[in-house]
Amino acid sequence: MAGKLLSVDEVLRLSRIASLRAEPGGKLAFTVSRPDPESNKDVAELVVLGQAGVEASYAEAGSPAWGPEGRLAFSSRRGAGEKEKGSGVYTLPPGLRGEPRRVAWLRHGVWGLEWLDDERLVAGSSVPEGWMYDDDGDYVATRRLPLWFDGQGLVAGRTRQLFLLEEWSGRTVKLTSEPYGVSSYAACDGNIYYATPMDWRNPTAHRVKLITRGGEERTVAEDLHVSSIACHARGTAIALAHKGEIGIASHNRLYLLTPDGHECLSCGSLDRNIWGASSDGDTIYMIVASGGRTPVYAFEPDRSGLRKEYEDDIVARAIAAYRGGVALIASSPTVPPEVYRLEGGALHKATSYNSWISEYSLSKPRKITIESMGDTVEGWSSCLPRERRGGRGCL
Amino acid sequence: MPLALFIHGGPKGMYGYGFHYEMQLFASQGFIVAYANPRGSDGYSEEFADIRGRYGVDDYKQLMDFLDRVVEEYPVDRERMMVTGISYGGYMTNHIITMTDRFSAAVSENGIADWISDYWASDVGYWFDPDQIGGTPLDSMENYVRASPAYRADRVKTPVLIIHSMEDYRCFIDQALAMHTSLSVLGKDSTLLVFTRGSHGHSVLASPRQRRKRLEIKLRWVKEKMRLGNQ
Repeated sequence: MAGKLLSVDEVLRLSRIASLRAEPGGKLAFTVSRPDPESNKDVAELVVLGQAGVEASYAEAGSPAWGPEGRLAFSSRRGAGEKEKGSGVYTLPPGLRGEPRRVAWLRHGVWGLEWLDDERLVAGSSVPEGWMYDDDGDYVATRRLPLWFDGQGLVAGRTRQLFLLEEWSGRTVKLTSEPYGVSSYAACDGNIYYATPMDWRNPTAHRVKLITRGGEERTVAEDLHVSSIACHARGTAIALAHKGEIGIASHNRLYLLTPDGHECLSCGSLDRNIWGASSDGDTIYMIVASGGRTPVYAFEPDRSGLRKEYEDDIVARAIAAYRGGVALIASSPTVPPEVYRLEGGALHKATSYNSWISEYSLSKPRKITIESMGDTVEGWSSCLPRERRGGRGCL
Repeated sequence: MPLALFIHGGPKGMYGYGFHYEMQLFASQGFIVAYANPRGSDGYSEEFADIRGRYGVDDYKQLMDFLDRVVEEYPVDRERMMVTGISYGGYMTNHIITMTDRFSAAVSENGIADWISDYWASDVGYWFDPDQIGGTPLDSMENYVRASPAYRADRVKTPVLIIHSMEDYRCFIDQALAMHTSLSVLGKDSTLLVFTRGSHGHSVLASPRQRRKRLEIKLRWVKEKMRLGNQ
C-alpha cells in the first residue's frame, strides 16, 4: 500500500543523534536534538541507553564521558541564565544515582570531556587572549592566522586549551598553553595525548604531545595530520591521521600512540579513508568509507591484523566500542540516523527516534556504474515507484 | 519526469547508502534524483581522491557522463533537469552552468565562485587553495582564474538561485556576491537568497524556521523555473 508523500514538515521533524560514547559494559550515552518550532531551536537531550532500554536522560546536556565504575560526566548550561556565559561540567556517581552535581563552570564553554582517573577530568575550553577577545561578542581581533570558525562564529582572539578539573574540590587548573591551541585529545589511564598545530602556515600538520601520569611532557609524533585521538589499552592511544601523502585530502590511517612514539597500524593494508575508530581495550574497530558504504573493520594489533567485521547498505558516522560489541550512529537510504549495536556479527537497531518516517513513501537508490576518464565512477539514481505517486512515478 | 542532480561537498565527500532527506523530499515531489562520486570523492583509493589542480575538469566530465547514463535509463524529461549542491557542490553547480546549458535550473548553495577572493577571505583559504588549486593568487593567478566560474559568467544560460548564509566563514559571503554580480551585470537570470544568520552548515544547523524557509523557497523557485506546477 502506498505511503504518504514526504513534505518539508516531515523533514523538519527529523531528530539528530550525536556524541556517541560507550562504557566498557555496553551502556551508551549520546545526544538527541529535536526541532522545537515554538522556540525555533533544536532542543538537545543526553540519553543513557542500556541493553534493556533508556535508563536516564538529561535535558540540555552534551559532551558525555564515561568514567571509572560507570560514572558519567557531561557539559550543560542547565540552570544558567540567558546572559550567563559558558557551560558547566556535571558528574553522576556509579549507577547514575541522584541528581547530576556541578563540578565546575567554564566561562568560555566546553568542547570535550575525558576522565583522567577516578578523581579528575580533562576538559577542553577556550582561553581569551586579552583585549583580542571581546566578551560581549561585538568584535574579534587577531595578530595572526588562521582565523578559524567553529560553527558558532570566528575563533580569533582565543585558543582552545586543556584544563584539569578536580571532581571533589571543583578546582580548575590550566594544563596547556599551546600557541595554536589544542585540536584533539584523549585521556588514557592517566596519560593525556593531544594534537596541536605546528605552524600557522599549515595548521592541519600537528605535533602530538603526551603529558604523562607523572606530569612529564614529551612529543610522540610530528608532522602528523590528526583528525581524532581515542584511548586504546594500557595508557596508549589511537589516532586517525595522515602524513599529507596527497596533500590535505589524504586518507586517514590508523596510528598507535605510545609514550615512546607512534606507529602506523593500517598503512599498506587498507587504501580507504577511515572515518572513525574506537577501541574496547583490546580490539580496535573502525568505520571505513568504501563505495558509498561504511563497513566496520576490526584490528587486533597483537593477533590477526585487519579484518572486515560487517558490511551492508548503511553509512555510519560515529562508532563507540565496548566489551562484546560496537555501537554506531548509522542510516540507510530509507531509514534516518539511529543508534545501532553490532554484536556477534549482527546489527540491531537500538533506537527509534525517526521510525515514524516508515509511514511515508521513500525511494531506494539503484546503483549505476560508468567508466569515465580512466576511472570507474559509481553513482545512484532513485525515484518513487509509479504506484506511489498516483501513476506519476518513474518505474 | 524532471531530474535533480545533487553534488556533494568536499570535494572529498561521499554519496551512497546513507539517508538523504533532501533527496527524499525531491523524489516525493516527483523528481528523479541522481548523485555520484566523481574523482575527488571519498570511499575509494587515495589516488581517486586526488583532484589537485583538476577542479572542474575530471569531476565535471565524470558527472556529465554519469548524467548521460541516467538519462538513457530513466524516463527523464531532458527539458526539465536541475543541478544543485552545497559548498564544493555549490562550486560545481556554478562551474557546470558555465560549461553546459543542459540544465533548466541551478541552485548553488554556500559554494565558491571566485578562488582568488576565497584565498584571502576563507578561514582555510590560504592553505586549502594552494594545496587544491595550485600556488597562490600572487604566483599562480592563471590557475585561480581558470578554476573560477565567476569569470565565465558570460557563458551561463541557466537560471540560477544562489543561496548563502552570512555567518559562513568557510565559503565567505563574497562568493555568492561574486557569482550573483557577475551574472547580473551581464543580464543573466540570477536570484540571490542570503540568510542573515547561519554558518557554512546552515542547511542542517540553522534554526528550524530557517531550515524550513530554505527548503520551501528552493522547491518553489525550482518548480517555477522548471514550469512544474504543483506536482
